[in-house]
Amino acid sequence: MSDLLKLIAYPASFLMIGYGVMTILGGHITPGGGFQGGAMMASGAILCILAYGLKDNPFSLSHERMSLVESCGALLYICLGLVGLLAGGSFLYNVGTNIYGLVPAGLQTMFNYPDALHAGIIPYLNIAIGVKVFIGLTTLVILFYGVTKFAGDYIDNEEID
Amino acid sequence: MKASIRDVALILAIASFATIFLSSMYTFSGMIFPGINYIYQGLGVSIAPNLVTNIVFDFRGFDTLGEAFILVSAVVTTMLVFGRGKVNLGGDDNE
Amino acid sequence: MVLETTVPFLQSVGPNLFGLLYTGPTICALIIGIIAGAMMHKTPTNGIKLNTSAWIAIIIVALLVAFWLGTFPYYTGLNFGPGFVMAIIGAIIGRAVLGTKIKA
Repeated sequence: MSDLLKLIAYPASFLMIGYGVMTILGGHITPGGGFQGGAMMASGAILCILAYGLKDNPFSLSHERMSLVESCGALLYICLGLVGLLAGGSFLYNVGTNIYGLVPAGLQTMFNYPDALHAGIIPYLNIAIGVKVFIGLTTLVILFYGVTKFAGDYIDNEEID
Repeated sequence: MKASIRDVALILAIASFATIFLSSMYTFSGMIFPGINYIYQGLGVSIAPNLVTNIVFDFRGFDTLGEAFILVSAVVTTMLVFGRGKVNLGGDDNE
Repeated sequence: MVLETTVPFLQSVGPNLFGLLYTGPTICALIIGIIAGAMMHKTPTNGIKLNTSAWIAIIIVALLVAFWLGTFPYYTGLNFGPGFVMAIIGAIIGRAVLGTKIKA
């Protein structure tokens, strides 16, 4: 791709990541939420993949780093559910807004999202899902972009692209 | 049969089926029972203003966990089918 | 089965941080930005090097867009959405601290 595209794609991906974060954090007020915001964040990284290719990319797309971040996102969701199970109640009980009064008040104020509305743990679940979808969709686009030949056609561990 | 007789039979069949179907749907509109909806709408407004996020992440949060699991399995399946035997995702492996 | 206790209707809370902003969106946007910045390289690649003036221009554009976007509904306080600016600042910080180096 030409130099002008490479010059403008990297700052534009920053703005897309900013919009994605705004959509994730407004999940309980405006239409949006975790899945939609994660897709918007992924589109910022995909723009850089299309403009730069897989080598010399400003994003580091190594396998260990991406799987570490995605696993942390999924584990955060499950750990928030286990808090509700261990403190009485059921799995994924909303310990922020204590509807049934099963959880002591100290735990309720600790897990409440500090906001204008008392929404409980819903924004934290949105953040976990958003990070997970961001990594997952970027992995799919890397796969479709990079793999073009059969295994026998690669000569001596030749690099893709 | 000739083509013109087949067209007439087709028109009659479609007209009769449409009349019966739409009249039954019109009668159903008075028989719908809301069910648990009055609890969702009476209780959900005190949690968050967006009722869709309320139901997806609070009342039915366990199904969203299954949806996240589907995302992981979709990526793994695509990598198996379209990998063509050698998948090199780019980047450094020395870190 | 209907709940016997009365649940309060939606009530708004005032701003927490310095009386103008809310703690939740600012801190959580910073954390998500640091996670997104950890996926970037630290050293310049492919001959495209961004100077300090380029980063300052990006931050000025981010402040303008945050002022034009406004806050979320039901939020009182300043008419300025802090989530956008904090996410971009978090990306810059994450790139400088947690980014990877390219050897040679």
